[in-house]
Amino acid sequence: MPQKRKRVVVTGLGMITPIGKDSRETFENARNGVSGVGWLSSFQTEGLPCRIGGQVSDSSFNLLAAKGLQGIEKCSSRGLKLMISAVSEAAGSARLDSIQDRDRVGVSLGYHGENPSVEDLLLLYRHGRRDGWDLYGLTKNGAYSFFNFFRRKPDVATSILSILFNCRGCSLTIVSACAAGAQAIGEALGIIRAGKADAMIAGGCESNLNFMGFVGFVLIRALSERYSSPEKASRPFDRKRNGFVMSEGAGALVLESLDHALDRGAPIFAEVLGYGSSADAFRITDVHPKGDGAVFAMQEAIVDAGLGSSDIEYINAHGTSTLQNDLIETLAIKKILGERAKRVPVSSNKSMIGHTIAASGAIEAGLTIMGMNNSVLLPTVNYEYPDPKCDLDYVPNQARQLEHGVALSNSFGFGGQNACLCFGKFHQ
Amino acid sequence: MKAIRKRDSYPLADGVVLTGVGAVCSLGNSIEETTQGLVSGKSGVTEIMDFDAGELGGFAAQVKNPPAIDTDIHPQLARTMGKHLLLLLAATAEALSRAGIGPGMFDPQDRGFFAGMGMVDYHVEDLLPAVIKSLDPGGDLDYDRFFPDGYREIYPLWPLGMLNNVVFCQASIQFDLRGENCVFSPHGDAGIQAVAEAVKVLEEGKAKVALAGGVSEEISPFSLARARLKGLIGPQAGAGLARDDKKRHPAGKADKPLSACRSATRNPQPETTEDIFLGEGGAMLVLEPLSSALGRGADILGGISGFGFSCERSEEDNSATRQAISTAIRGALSQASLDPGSIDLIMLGSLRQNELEAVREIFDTGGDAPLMVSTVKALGEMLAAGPILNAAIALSIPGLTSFPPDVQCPPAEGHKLRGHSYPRRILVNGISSEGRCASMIVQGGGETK
Repeated sequence: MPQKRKRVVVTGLGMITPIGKDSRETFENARNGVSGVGWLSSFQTEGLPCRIGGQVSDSSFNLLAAKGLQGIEKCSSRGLKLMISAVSEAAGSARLDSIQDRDRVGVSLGYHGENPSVEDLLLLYRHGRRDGWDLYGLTKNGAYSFFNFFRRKPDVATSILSILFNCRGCSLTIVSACAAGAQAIGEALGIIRAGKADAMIAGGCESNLNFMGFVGFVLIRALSERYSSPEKASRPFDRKRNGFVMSEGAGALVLESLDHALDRGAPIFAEVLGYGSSADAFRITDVHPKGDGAVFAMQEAIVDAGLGSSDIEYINAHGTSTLQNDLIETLAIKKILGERAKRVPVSSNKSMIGHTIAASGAIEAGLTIMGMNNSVLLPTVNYEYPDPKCDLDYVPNQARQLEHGVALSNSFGFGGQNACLCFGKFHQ
Repeated sequence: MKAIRKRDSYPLADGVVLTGVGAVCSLGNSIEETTQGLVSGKSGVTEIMDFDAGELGGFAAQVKNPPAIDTDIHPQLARTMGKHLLLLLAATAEALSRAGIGPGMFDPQDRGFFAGMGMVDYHVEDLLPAVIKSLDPGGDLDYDRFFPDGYREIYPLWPLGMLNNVVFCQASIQFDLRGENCVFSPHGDAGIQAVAEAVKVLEEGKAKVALAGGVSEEISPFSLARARLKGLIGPQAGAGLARDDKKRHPAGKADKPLSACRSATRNPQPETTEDIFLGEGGAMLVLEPLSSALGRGADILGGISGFGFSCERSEEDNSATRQAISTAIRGALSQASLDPGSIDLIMLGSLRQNELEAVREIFDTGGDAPLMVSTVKALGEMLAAGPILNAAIALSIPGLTSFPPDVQCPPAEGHKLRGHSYPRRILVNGISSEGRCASMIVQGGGETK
């Protein structure tokens, strides 16, 4: 077995969400139960059964880090711009610039690249031929540019982040749908523990609030279609939940080995105690009916943290507001916590933010840490009609003041990839 | 020989060993067929026949007839996954079979699964009916028809064709792999990252066995265009898109004769990416703790003893810089506690100048030089699958002298292999087009035992 394991701490934290341009604003709005869901204005939604989402205002972007770098604008997807904003905040709070050996600083990003636009489709139609595609015509007419290829590739975003923030260490791009942000953090944890880096920027970003990105979820009927008002649509664990609300955003943490953080006097927000992942191996389009994958991921995170289930004081749920997820996640939590299940608070940030897909695990990790440090349990808003099958303490509608020192954060991805992170208040 | 700085070495206490390899590529549907093809001097590069690729150079190293795997996947879902699914399933099935791992041998939750997955592309034909239904008489898109109604013609599952992890999840279903997992994307470094993660998970006791490997991109107009535009393949391979480049590369012809193409694809003359073609393939390794492998009487094919990673993008060609590649190699050597002089064989990740310079900077280039091999011209640029297939080839080829001269890179004479039948320690590199690079050290089976 490996020698004594390195302790890994969070020394930087940043996010940009529909309810805040940074982590502080997001946390305060979440504490007050503010919803970021509204009528979509970023693309044409007329005729769609769902016309709402959680948008981030362009004016919230912090792109100072990218200023003056030629080509970045053309290569940058909206998801990457969101991530640059989140990483700028995280790197600033961690004083990442003060680390001298940049070969020992890496980037771990969960992201899926940019969707094609409707205009891309028209171009593809025009350049389609019976026996293939006129790629020459497609790319040379200027409309379907070289940069579309860049924005489509998720690893380009990782590389641009590495360049912008001068990280020459291990760089990885993780694609596991809604689990990607959490897995990116989990992988970064492993890299630091293994001594392959001193610090890692880790997180996720996503922007699917464009027609083609959005309509895919409309067509598989995953989105909420019945709501009295946009802000009421995301209602995790509520009996009247009927689908998730698509949102955009980004979340970033700076993870660092404890020794390294102490040596340079970095601020320490929390300790990353454990990480677990699993696969449902059930069906691509459905979660395991007994929640086996979710159970195993949580179990692994707890064991990895060297804890028992009795140590868990709060769970930041995946809580998507879909019928299936919320039911199965409740079942899985019960299996993990046993008779304590109804006494351990569980809440869903997606009730206010919506579902930011690859970003969600990273945003929720950040909010979990801020909740611990402020002794606040963020609420699950829109919890109005209890579902007898979802019968845990979901911190309904109002934030709660409660000191807590160990928390789990769940992320379950489409296709059946599951991830769970375990955070603890930092104690020397 | 230059010394390697020792820092944060993370020795593999019990050792993680390889007990199975599986591969499918343009030279065959198994690792045996692949090595036989390579040894006998075959090239996998042929003319693309399944679509008109004239604009794109017309040649690639495709997997023509991937092995059929029994699966109960719905045909519509299978279609969204395309050839990726076949490549991953075939490589995984062979690796498990060669490792002697059948159903019920390990608890499914003790089976880790990690892969680097090449880019997947949506199927344009899933989307175009919506456009066709919404055209105005002048052939332009009538947005008033598209948005309220036309969009309904889009195939509902089309986004699955853009998610690299869906095929991975299908393989986890097929082989009941429920343990720790992760998908990395999409280039050469991603395959090595998958192996590194598998080793870490085994060391930490989070899994008892782990599969790790990579899958290339499927050859399509889009993957060819992307590779050409990214500079992964040479101007000839993307002749149509490189029309403007012909003045600079007069050899670039879309209708290049096949015989000339084959000739060009065998000899890995360094310092150029000309005549490099895109390749299809999947490769998978089965990894286990040494004690566990011995306990169940598994054949031990080799071991894994070090990894190194770095990221720095060259301004000139978007590849990893010499410095970054050097850092990754040194990191792998350091973790394995090896000096450069103990490396017998280097499986190159590319033929780029940066990689060759980094290798020459670290390793002896005289009479005691390690053998340097590049399969990229014979098998094509296979992205995430490339380094894994290279590792499998290095462990499976029937003797070091079996590497034909035309896959060896200079200095090919006087290398140290004359004293050994098999490579004892192998350096495998994986290079990304975005500046990322990775290296890993693989030990030959004799060393492990």
